[in-house]
Amino acid sequence: MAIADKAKKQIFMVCKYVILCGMVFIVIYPMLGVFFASFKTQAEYLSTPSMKTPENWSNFSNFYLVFTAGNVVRGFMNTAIITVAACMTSTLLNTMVAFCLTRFDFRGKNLLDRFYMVASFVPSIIVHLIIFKDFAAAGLVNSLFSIIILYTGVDIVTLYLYKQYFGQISVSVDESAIMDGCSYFRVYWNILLPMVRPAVTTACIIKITYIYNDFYTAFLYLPAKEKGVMSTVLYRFIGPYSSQWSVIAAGIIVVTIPVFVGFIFAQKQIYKGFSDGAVKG
Amino acid sequence: MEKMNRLAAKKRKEKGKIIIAFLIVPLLFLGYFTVYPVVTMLLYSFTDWKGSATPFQVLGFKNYVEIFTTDTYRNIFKTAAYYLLAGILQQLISLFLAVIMNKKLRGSSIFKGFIFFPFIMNGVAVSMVFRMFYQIGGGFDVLLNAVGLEKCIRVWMTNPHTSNICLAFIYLWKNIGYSFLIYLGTMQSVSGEYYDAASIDGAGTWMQFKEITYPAIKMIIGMMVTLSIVGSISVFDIPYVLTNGKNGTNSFATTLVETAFTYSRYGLACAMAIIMLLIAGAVMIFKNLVFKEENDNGYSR
Amino acid sequence: MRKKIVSVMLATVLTVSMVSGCGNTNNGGTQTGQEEDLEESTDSATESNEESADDGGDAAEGSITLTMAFHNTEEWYEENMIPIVEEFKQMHPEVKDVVYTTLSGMGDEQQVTRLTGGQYEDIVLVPTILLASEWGNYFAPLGDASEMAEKYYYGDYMQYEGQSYGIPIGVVYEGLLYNKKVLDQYCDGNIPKTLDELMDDCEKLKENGVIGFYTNAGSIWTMRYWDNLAITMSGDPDYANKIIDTQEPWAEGSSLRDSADILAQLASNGYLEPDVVTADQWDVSLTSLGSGQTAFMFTGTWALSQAQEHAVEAGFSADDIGFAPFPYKNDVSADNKLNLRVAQDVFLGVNKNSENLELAKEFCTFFCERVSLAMGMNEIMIDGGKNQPDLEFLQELDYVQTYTSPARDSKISEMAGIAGIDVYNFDGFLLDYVILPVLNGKEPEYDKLNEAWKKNF
Repeated sequence: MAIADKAKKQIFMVCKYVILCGMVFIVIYPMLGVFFASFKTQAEYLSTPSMKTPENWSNFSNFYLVFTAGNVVRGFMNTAIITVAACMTSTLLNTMVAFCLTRFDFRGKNLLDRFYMVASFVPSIIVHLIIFKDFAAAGLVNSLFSIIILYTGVDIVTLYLYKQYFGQISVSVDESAIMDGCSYFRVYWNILLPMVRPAVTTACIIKITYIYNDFYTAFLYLPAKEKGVMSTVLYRFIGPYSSQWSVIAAGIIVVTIPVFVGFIFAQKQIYKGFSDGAVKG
Repeated sequence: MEKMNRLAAKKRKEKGKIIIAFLIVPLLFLGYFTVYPVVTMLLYSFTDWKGSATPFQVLGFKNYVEIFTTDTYRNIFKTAAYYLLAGILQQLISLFLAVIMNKKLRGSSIFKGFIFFPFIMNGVAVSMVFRMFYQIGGGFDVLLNAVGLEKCIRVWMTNPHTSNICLAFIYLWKNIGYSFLIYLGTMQSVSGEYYDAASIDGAGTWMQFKEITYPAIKMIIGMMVTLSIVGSISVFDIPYVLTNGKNGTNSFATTLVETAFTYSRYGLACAMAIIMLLIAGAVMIFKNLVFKEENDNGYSR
Repeated sequence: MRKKIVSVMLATVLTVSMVSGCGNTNNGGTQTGQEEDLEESTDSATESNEESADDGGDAAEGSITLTMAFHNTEEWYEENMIPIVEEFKQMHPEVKDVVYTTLSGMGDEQQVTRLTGGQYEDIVLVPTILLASEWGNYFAPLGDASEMAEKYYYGDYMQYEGQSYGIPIGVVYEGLLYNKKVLDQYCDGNIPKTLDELMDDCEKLKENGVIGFYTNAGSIWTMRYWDNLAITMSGDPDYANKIIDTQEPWAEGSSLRDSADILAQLASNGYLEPDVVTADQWDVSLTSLGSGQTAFMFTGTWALSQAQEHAVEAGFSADDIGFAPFPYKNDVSADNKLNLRVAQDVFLGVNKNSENLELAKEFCTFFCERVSLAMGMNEIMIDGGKNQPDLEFLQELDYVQTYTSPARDSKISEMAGIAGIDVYNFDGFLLDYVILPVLNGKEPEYDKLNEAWKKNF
């Protein structure tokens, strides 16, 4: 019985790995073409099929161009400033709203909840058509501040995540603190916020990837060269008539690798936070 | 007792203050970035606004009538069906993967990284990846050749039967990591003790999922399904970048952008946006009927 | 009870924002009015400044910086445009520099949003999708349209109510780019002069595995040459504008239908590139042409130098690429000539709120008069303009006559919007209504086009 059980478990294990390896293949395989292209010369890219391996694997000139002409370093700095600031502001706002929604009962509570849901379906291109005027009139174009504001808003998924977390922390935790003379603000700031740290990490990761990849807003609000961000780096190599596709391919790799590595390292932290089970109450 | 009452009264007052203090900024944001544009859109949707200061005429419901009586817009729902299917597959697959990975597994952090990887890729990058993947003699054709399915090879984007399927696959490929992360994150907030206890009681994997995991993530599943239903109508960048919405691949959002910017009919585009919001609202009401939210455990009044 | 309060609250929120919304539009209106006044006064101010500068001869040197946005990359600007800017600075020492912003990679939507937001450069590319009636909101009138037309090819093209709002950066011929080597190899070197010859050539090429025509249909803008071909075929330079009064522009026997039919014929015979919907990488098509995988492309002569570069990069010779008029009919002789359209390209406008309006206008004109040869186009000046050396031979062909077409009626784009057909603009409709039906074994959908157009009447 025990042996059969063990065998069954092992088969399960093998199945799991097969499935996961399949997933990895599905993720990686389509990207091979871009990976090969990053080592090709422009002429080679245009004249060979995408799945043909490059002639010269040590052709790093595309990567060199990305770093020099693409101004990756400055883009990275700007993006870092924006993401750090926006993560802080949006974490604050999101947790504040989630705190109110889960801890208090007040008029319009459900309405507010629904509003955030609807808000996520407003087509952003039209929204920008309407509000860009105001930003331009206020002289906020080309200022990192404007884009931080734009990224600050409460978004529905993050809000739900926090609500889920706050909801799982028993009210008795804060009630005992209140009995000890804590104000609601201190309950929020000193007790609850530290307890939802895992959710903060997850929410920030989602935020960072969103900011990192959103070029529409960045393009519109930060057109100046010295205000370039990571998401617009690739566009420097796209022209109306001739685009340096092999450089763009290298750019894709340069732009994506840091987030990938960052994620691999950060996730230990994320899941450690999860399994520490701040939420035992 | 006296002391308790005083405390309660003080707390009530403080409660009011803290709600106002905490919600004022978020409400301002909501007002400016959502309510104000939506109301503006609503007003413009009854006009023939052309996107600037030029005077416009009030048309009444003419824009709405036009949307429901024009052929091009019917195709939007056909396109949406493909993405809807992809969205539901996305939920199923990512839930499945999250369940697998919820237990200790050697090398899981690498796998998690790879599954999440497509989501962190930039839109230009994804479109370039798949343009090369679907082109003639590209990655997909090479793969089919390698497994002996060369008969199935089509001109993927030009063939009207395959174009939407191929695009919907990109949608699935890109977003799976996102829902995976959300599901896994929520699942991990459930204490391991429950599972240990269930194991001792002899509950199988399915029972564990049904009795422990599912109730914990029910709310988030409801939300993710809602998001993917509405997302299937509003999908934008994938068809826009790869096919320009041609060959029957136009979605609500690409048609909206075309109407506004190619044809300068912002009034009509606003009407489309409003309809999109109404659909979203309807889906939400439906979701609330299916996934009834449990009462939040607020402070007792 | 509570519900009622909530709905009252909601109503208040909505009303408040509605009022503010309306307030904003009103403000917008009055503001524009004020700006116009302001602009006029600055106009006269700049003029008087200039006069005094001329008198005194000591304008504050290097005190003015102009800004400019154009769709080519920064590298292109640095390579080709710096000499023009330097020359301008010598004429106007008060100009310190011209700061360049590239619009490359930026979609039309973003360009329009920048305009409506009032956040754009002194000299800026006019987005093709902007309605004519909107030009005056963003751009300064550059002069009387008929006067401009006398001086420049298409000087009156961007006219609205008698004023020109944009200057073309150059003019081109619209016709065939071809690969000589391939034609030598498979078609006895026959450069098609008639439609039948073109189809014969394509058939021979197809038999030998060469793509006859590369359309780039996926990128949409490349299709406009087919609509312009309708003007050429009709023999009436003003043909495009007559669409305004035509209820069925694609009726049997119409030039719009005939030109689309040529495209349909090429598609149904399998002469086009295989993956038309995603064919949107312009340089891929040029490489295909340059390396002899494709024989023909239908485009403007501005692409000639680019195609030659790609041929050289692919290891072939620049001489392999040539240009010829599009052979749209079979009866071609010195008495029955092929028409060749001298066509406009993109236009530059001047920000009407520019702080240095006069200087900006001057630079805009100066730039447009000089940039064309660097971009592989002919110059815009009617008298004294120069031809690309590669194109001079066209004047000697006895079976070809050139013509220009008059300014396009601003009503066309509005009617196109109502019909949902981008005719005489980008012409993406050709892909949906002509090429794709034909590729899927059906007929071109001219009836649907006519029906959509009828919505205007």
